[in-house]
Amino acid sequence: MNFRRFFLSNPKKISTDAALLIVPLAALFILGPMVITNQAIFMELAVYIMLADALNIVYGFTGYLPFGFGVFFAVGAYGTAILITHDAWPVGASIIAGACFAALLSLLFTPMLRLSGAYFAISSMAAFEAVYLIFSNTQLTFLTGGPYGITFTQVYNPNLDYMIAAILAAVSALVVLLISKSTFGIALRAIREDRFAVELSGVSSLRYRTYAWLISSFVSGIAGGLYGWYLGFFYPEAVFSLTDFSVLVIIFVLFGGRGTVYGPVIGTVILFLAYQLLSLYSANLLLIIFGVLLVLLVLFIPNGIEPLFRKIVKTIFPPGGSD
Amino acid sequence: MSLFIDAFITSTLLAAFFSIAALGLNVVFGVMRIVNLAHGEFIVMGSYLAIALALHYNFNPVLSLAVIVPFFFVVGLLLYFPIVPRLQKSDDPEMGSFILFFGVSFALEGIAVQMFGVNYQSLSYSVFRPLHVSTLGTTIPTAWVVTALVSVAAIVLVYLYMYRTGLGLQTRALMINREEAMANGVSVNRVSAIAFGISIALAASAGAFSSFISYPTTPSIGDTFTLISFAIIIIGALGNPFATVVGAIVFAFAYGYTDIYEPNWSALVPFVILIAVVLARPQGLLGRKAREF
Amino acid sequence: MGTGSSPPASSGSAGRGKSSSRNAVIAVIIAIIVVAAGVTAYVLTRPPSTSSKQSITIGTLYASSGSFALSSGFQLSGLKYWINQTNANGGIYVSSLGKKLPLTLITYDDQSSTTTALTEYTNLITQNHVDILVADFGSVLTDPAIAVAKEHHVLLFDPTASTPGYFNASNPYLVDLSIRVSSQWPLVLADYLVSQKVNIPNVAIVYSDNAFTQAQAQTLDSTLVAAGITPVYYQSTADTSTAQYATLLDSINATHPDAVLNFGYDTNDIAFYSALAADNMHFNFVFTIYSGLEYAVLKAQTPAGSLNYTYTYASPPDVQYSNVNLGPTTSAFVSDWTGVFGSAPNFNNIAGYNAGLLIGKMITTAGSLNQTSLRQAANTLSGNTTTLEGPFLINTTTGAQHGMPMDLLQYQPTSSGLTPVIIYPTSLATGTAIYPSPSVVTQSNVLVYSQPAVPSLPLSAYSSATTALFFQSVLLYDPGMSTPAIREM
Repeated sequence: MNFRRFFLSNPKKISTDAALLIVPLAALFILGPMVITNQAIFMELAVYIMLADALNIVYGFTGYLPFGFGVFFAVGAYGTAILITHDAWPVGASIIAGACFAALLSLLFTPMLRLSGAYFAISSMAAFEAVYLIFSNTQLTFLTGGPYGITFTQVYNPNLDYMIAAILAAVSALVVLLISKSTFGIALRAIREDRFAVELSGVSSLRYRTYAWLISSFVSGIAGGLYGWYLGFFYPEAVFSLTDFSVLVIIFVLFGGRGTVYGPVIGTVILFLAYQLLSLYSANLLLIIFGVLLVLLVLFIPNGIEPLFRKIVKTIFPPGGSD
Repeated sequence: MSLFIDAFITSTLLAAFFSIAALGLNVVFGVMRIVNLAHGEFIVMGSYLAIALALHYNFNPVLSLAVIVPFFFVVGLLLYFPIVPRLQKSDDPEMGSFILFFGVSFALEGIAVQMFGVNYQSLSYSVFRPLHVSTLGTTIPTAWVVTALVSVAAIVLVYLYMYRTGLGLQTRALMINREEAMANGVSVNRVSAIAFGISIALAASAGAFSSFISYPTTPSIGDTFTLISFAIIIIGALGNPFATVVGAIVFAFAYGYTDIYEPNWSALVPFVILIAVVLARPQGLLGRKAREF
Repeated sequence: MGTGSSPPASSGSAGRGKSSSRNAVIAVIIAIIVVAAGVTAYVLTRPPSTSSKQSITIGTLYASSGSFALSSGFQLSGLKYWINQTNANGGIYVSSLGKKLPLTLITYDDQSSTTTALTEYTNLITQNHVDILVADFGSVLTDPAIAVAKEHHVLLFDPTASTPGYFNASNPYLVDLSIRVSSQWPLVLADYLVSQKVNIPNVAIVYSDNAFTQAQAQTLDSTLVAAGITPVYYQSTADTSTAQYATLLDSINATHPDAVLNFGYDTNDIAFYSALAADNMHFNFVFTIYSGLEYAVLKAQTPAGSLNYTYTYASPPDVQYSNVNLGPTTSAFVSDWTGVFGSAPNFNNIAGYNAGLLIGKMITTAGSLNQTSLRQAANTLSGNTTTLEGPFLINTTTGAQHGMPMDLLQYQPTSSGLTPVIIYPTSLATGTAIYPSPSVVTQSNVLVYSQPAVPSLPLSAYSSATTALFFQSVLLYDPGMSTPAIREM
């Protein structure tokens, strides 16, 4: 296999796209906290961008919707917390190891990738619930803290954590960009369009989906570790939240445009900030507003705002000449 | 020994309740291939209506079904027409429905909070006389027996509709093969709309009894019902309404019996069974083929 | 997908220039959106101009929905009541500013979500720059605030989070105001059970899986074991539904306990009592936490008669403190509150109010809004302050609450309804325990105005019993059935 081609089908185009992703993100993460001094908002934003990118790799590129996708996030957070508390590992190593746990768990779940649409979505939800019930079980208190939560405030360092999360959010966007430009990404999209054709042409769609699944769970695990570190102490419900770390992420990706490079980032930035503002200022209507928004989203802009965004750009700057 | 029998009876009644709670979800999936994540919220809404009727008009839950069933049937129709046909025209209705109905569940929970507040509400066992029934050395509240009987009646009615009416025939045709059914002149919209209405009405009917046997009613309890309903229909078989009963039996008994011996792990068992069933036999215990490769 | 509109590769330098300038436009647009979103957010979250201090801002969270909504609402209304009362008196005198300042309350709704709570606590600190940060109800929703408050050197006033693990010497920015640390709750209860060793030899303990209840179950278990009473049943559970509790009760019943103690939250207790009624079971001694803490909720949501002879923690408003040196006496407060809201306050209402009282006193004592001085003021007040909730006594290094004891009471039916009778300690007792608790016919008080009681019939007595029973049940619905909805108190 030609690895260069596998990873990069068009290396030249990539640098401008990369700049387009990184410069605004950098501006956002550096200037944002100066304007709104609530660092937690930007920390969560960074975490959500990572999650959105991770989800995009599976859902956007392959069309498989893992509804219980947040399980990798939670396992990443727990892996990190456990290694820090019990084995006094350095934070960085713990987060990476936590993400590896998440990836290992995803390997355990690979048999589910053989399932079709709704079965996959629902069984991943059941897997989420099962893993949650294991981690929060009283009889595992010695390891996970059980339902009583786990503390590792001794390494609490929100500023450093935020910096790393912001950088990794940009990196995860780059990972999506790389994948989208690679033969690997093309294969994934082919799987989404027509699995049978892909199989017929002699490519194992299951293997490709497994790769995507692994990368996705690893990135989610990193996000989970960083978020857990930011909390310093958490109950199982704080990281095992189906609404917060699965459904919201799905909404962000869908709103931005699944399977696109910019979509998840744009969608997360806009909707997450909207969600924060709503929950700060009219929380009693939050559920209703977001609920109705979701319904309208699926019915009227199923491809998200990325194409719309692209169209606006085109209108302002009509393509001409060879471009 | 009596512990064993106690658990048997409780599990049987619970299985009947869960059957009616999950049945509608499966009807919708079978007919429309869409996943209604707001199912649990309709159970909650049904429960609120039953409680309101009991509070203001002294209706007992069985009597209140006379209001709940037509009301929620119409709600189902009203929800069906603006949403489902449009959804089914999109490129991936199955996945789209997940997100769309999650939105509906968000909105319904928000509405319930605004309308009913966040207090626990429940119906009293004393709506039924005598309060208790004794059998095989155990005592159970009559309310549970009534719940189970209503569930059985509902399942029989759905069965009669599906197998003894023209519309039912069309419904089954849609479930088995959508394209062929359409080619043979099945009026998809009419059949689906009715199925959707029935599904919502079933959920709401389950809700009328939910506070007896499961949880006191609060706006946030809907998710739990949705999750349990999903586990049940997957264990049974997606798209086959009567396999729901089998799923409910497996679920209730697995829960009931682990609760005797290992209460710490009982919550986990149904999900482990679900995953095991899905991996070994993804089509469910009674289903047709679902795995792809 | 991706840059799906990317044209066929162009090789000329002109083309490349065009493409990069187009990209520049995209970049500018993204930047505009980002800045616009940022500015909007800033405008909306901008703290009020603080040229000279006009008021003392108190920031807290509450949950309008989700699993903590009910209790959280109770606590907030107690706090609000104190704020209104204080403002009606012109506010609080801050000596360092030389004037009396009114109180302003800033609240956000966390909807019982810890993720939302994290950003909202941070917002209270970094955007609203609140002077006083008060935690939401309970340990789960207080948890996200602890690290943030410490990081920003803001003292977190904790009304009702009692998890022992929160309090340690390395965090001076946390003080527990209105609730005894949960591991100490069952001390009085344990003493009582030990004193009744002869009458109540077999004790069954079941607790739900969370920090608050586990701490209590553990303390009770170890105290009992030390006194030579080994519980016949000691089990945690994740169950919350009535049917699950029914199964659990069957298991408990099989161990033939004299006393059954259920440590859970309100949902657990409701399920527990419903299951007791469902199984028609009777134990000589039943203890739950929330039958005391949220009596009105439990009373309304459990089968009639469930709470008769039940034991629970005795806390205000049932325990009345008259010898107070800060704020109203318990009975004065209860009658004030009842006058305003039409129903008596519950424990969480009082906890919210009590938190306010103590905060006010700490501000006066400290003479400033300096967070460290406030914490020191808490230490100054500790041990010599008694409020409507009892003595305020904290561990001066960790901030954990050791005062405000949880005594033991039993609800005894009298002609005027259920009366809370304080059983133990004897110094406070207002009556004696009725033990074993009489087997209450749980339906007694609903049968009064209904048909004569139909005795519980063995199902086997019916040949085609089920249908007969079905119709009988349908026809004989009880018009006296009621489901009073408890509106926000």
